[in-house]
Amino acid sequence: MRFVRPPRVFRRFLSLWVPDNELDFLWADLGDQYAEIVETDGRRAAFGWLIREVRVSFEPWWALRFERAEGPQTRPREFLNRRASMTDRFVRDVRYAVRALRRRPLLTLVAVLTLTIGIGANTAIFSVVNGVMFKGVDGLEETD
Amino acid sequence: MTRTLFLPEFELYVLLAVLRLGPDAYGASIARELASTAERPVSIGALYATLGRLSDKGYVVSHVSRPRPVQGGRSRKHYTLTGSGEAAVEHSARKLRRMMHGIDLLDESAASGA
Repeated sequence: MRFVRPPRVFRRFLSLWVPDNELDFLWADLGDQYAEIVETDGRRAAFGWLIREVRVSFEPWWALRFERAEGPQTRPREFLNRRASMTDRFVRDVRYAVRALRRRPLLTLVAVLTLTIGIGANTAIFSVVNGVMFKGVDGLEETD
Repeated sequence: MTRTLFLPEFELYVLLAVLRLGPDAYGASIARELASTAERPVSIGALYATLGRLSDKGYVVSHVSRPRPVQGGRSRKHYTLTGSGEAAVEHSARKLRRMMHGIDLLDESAASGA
């Protein structure tokens, strides 16, 4: 069997949240599994699997990095009970928001599209009004 | 009073998988064990994060093996339970058994996979 290696761009993504001393072993295990899936289900399935793996690993690794930054004594329950700093609360709020958005993908899509169209339309209208009414049209000179 | 930490469910599963696998416990094999025995498919990336946490808590230790003598062979990080890891598993299992005592929920043949 020819050993198929996964695209290295995924390793770069993982390196954003997995520490260097763990990354080599994780990447090697992912590589083995990737090669197996290529063999059984094809390259497309393996590619999809790898994307899911990278995406799913994001949250637990950030949670662990956060715990490590807080100190080895921190446990989740104590973490929730003690007086949280502003940064803690902010991070918790962001994570809660991300979870809530992921639970309602359609609502999230509609909200993102609404914001996109709203901001885009406003920018376009402002550009036209600014160009025509305030700056004047290029190439025309004002008459006395 | 001695303060004992209760293991979250997933950490307990991972520790049990490490115990079951013995010297052959590394990331991918633990993931396979969880998928086949506990019927719980896991992401290898998320599993490594849990192993990192268990290592921080002092429940497991790891050592790096020599590269395997095959094409693409490489070294692996193998995990073993420490004394406090075994104590934590035993503690959680005992409490669970005590809570389950007298509750007729488990069909033993189904639980053993027969």
